[in-house]
Amino acid sequence: MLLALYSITTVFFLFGLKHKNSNKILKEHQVLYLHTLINACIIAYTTHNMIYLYRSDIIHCLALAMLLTYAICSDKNIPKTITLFFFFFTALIVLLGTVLPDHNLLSDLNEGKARTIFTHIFLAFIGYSSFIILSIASFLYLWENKILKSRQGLSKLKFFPNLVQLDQLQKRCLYIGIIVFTIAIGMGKMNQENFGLENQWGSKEVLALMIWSLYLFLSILRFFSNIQKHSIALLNLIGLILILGSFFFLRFSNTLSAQGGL
Amino acid sequence: MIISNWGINHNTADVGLREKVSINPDEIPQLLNILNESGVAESCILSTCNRTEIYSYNQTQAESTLIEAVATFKNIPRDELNEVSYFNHNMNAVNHLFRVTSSMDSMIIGEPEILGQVKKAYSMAVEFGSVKKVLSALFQRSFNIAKKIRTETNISTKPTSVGAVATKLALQIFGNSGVKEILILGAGQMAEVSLKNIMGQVGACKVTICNRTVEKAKQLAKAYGGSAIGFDDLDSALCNAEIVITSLGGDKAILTHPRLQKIQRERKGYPLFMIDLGVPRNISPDCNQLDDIYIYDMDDLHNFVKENKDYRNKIIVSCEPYLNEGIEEFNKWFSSLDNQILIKDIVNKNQQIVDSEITKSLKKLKNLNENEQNEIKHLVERVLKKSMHQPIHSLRNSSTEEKSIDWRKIFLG
Repeated sequence: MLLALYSITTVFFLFGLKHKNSNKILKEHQVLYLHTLINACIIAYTTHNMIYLYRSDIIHCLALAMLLTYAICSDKNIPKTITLFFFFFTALIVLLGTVLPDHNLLSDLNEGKARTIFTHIFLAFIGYSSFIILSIASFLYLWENKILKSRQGLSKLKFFPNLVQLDQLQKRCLYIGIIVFTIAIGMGKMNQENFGLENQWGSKEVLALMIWSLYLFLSILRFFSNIQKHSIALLNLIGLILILGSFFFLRFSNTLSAQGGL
Repeated sequence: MIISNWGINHNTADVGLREKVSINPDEIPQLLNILNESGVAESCILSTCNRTEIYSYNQTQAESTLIEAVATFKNIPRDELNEVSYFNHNMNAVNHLFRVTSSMDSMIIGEPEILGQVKKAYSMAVEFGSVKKVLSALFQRSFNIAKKIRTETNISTKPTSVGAVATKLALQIFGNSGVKEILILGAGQMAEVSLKNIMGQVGACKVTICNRTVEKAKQLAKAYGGSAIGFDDLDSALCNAEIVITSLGGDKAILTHPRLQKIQRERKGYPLFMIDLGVPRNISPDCNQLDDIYIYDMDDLHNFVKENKDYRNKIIVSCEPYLNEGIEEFNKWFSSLDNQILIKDIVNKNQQIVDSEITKSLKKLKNLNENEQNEIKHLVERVLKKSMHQPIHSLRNSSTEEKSIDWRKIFLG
């Protein structure tokens, strides 16, 4: 059902794109809010009185987190190409969640445990989504900056948001990310206690902590220094590479620690 | 009836002759009146800096009437006009008008002004009463096609003037609402043109003019509701502005790398877009290496303009289907217009025959009362109507001119 609703609204969106005055017919942001609402309703329905936690719940939760983060952080005047890319990315996640064989991740959850773990997962996903959007915005900023500096191939820029928009997007993602991640990490600690897994560390926890540290570092830089926007975007991307590198290294290699890396 | 077009434009006549032939708005009603008195049924005059054209709808080809009227009105030898004039008739004239209105025949292809100029010419002719059914339909269609081409093709997407290119770049960096302050260095004409263009797009923003002579800066500032400053306050103005346009004279660059580096640090990395219109340049070229500062000089802007003009010339091919579709539609309507006149003539002629024959017959049948006479009249009319239904239906749906000529011969002799 979710996929059908997504398809219908996406077709409407594409129909709107074909019209030059699509703003008058259908704004892509309205579809974005609609998708977010549909997803939120489905999740609210499936998680009501939850006893089992299925993989599909997690995937839909990720889709909702991404939609919600983008809806909050993006500018309504942002070029449609970016929103379109994001739509398809989220639709792909939902499609995977629907077609992949489902299985139970956790069972015998009581109301308290379910609420804590689901909120933790949801907030963590918003944090990760902010990080993904932040990285995309930084990449686009550097690319656009390069084209503008080289003074060549300016026709490519019609698909890009303007530089100020991209910087604003990075800033919002950063501030939302740090607030949400701080809460998510705190709730992670509560989850560990709920499931009797105190002080257990795995690659996911390390990844979350590293992103949180990067967010904190970048927020301090933005607040307290005169650092150039270009340098901030560059640091975002360096952070992305370092974090992803560390995550995969911890995930797939043996380390001295038996608990996944620390 | 024939649609005719006479004209001269930037391709056929030099600027001197174009100026001589140009018809200003006050003269248009006078010339329309002359054309009307010469027996031209409908006419419309378009006169811009690049072209002067007359569109007419007349019983015969209006070629000599149009050129004679212009030559006499503007006091120009007819031979001189003949050499540079072009004429088009019927669908060629329609094609020409569609091209002109869609800016495919302009000096700068895709320029937006021509549509407004044609609309103005049309409304003047409507006001004078020289445009009726045919030219009205023609011009309305040309506006629709121009609008369609403008919105559905890329003919006008790329700017083709220095000011417009600079505006486009500014919008790519700051967007519509990101520009709060524009700083003009020097009170030259080029800087003013660029400022006008940018302000037209980004809307209300603060303008500061900085010049060696503050008095001169004040004059320009007054025109744009801005403020004027001297060189002493330049650095603080640079810290606040989003766009800087420089057009100063002098041998040395006034904005050097160390100076801008210091300013950029104080700006906390907020982007700065600088347009250097000075020759020699007012901003030293190595400043472009500074992060978040984007500098474009005259050569850069001219290169973009040239690229965009080349692009527009290529894009014309994609506009042709819109023109052909429009011409086909108009042709269909125009042909049916001829047929409508023919149908009216046929019906009138038949009615005359019926009336005269009934009158003759009724004279012989004096014994009939009024009701019986009316019944006979109705009977004949019904027979005529039914027998003519199929031929008239076919005639109404036939579209080509040849067909209608054949029909005229068949029905009216």
